Amino acid sequence: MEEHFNRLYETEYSRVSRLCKGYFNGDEALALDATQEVFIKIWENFHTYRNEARISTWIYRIAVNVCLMQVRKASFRKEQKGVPLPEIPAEAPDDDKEQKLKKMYACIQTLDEVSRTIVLMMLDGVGYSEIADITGIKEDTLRVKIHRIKHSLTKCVSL
Amino acid sequence: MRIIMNTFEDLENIWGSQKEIFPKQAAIEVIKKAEKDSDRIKRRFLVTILILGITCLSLIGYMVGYKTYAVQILLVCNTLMILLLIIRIGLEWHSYRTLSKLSFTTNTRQLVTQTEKFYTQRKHINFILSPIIFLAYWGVFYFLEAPFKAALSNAMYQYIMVSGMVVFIGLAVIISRSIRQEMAILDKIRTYLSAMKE
Repeated sequence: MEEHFNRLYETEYSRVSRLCKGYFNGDEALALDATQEVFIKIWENFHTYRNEARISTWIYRIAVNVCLMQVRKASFRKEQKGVPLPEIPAEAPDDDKEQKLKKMYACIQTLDEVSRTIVLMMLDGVGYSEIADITGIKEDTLRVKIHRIKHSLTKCVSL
Repeated sequence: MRIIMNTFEDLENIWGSQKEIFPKQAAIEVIKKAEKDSDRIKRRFLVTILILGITCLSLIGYMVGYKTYAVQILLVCNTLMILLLIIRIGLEWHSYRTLSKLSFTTNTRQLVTQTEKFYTQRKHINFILSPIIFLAYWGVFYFLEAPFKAALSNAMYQYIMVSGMVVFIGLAVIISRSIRQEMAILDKIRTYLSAMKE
């Protein structure tokens, strides 16, 4: 079991931390704390995994649930509120990409929590049925939501 | 190079081009922390229950040892305090059981529904039971004031009055902060649930 967990830790860490970063406005320190919490929950519940869902779906479920909980706690304590992303130097070579990314994070923060949850998975290429399984939202409702979210996020980023 | 982001696919590309994040600690450290954390949560609840239990037993010991049950007002006050402590122990145990049942492996809707149930129960505790317990403690304190004044030295009496007030004010501040935090979380959870249905 420990060996299997080690493998997952190595392969899924980056994906999970990227998802968490989306919840914390790109703040890497807060995201890494949440990522650690996600892997703690994965380990605690590892014996309950029954192959009914893909392991990546199962991990996403835990990651989304943990990040949502952490964001709620943090938002009350106002720990992450207004924490800006590190300033990117104007002359940096990847300036434009970084600026766009920064804008994306800012736009994601303007979405409600449900839309944020959905869009972060969409950006990571998670399929409709998997998102429905993770969130518990019916696929029909999800399709309508996704259409709306795609539109508002693209609009916000291009402004 | 200027990156154009007119479509959602453009956003996906930008998102996907982020650098990989590598873990700063080994998996074994996470496992150790998981085991330590789980013990810590369990220990926190058990310590609270243990302290309340010891206080309860001390009150019973005091009642029997000093035969305070012979004085009607002391009997009523002590019994009331013991009953309230037993209720508190029951509530702590119930909260511990409910919290340990929250499953992070279910889908978000189920977890949010479970959490909403937990915080609604907490709301009832906060707005109904806590004020009753608080008022009952205040009542006990009020009724014991006269016997204390008659039986204790002036310095000891003053000490009990002042420390009692400080404890009550401190408790009121802690309880109100905890209520505000829990109600804010409940509000967010309800907003989340209604957004899911839209």
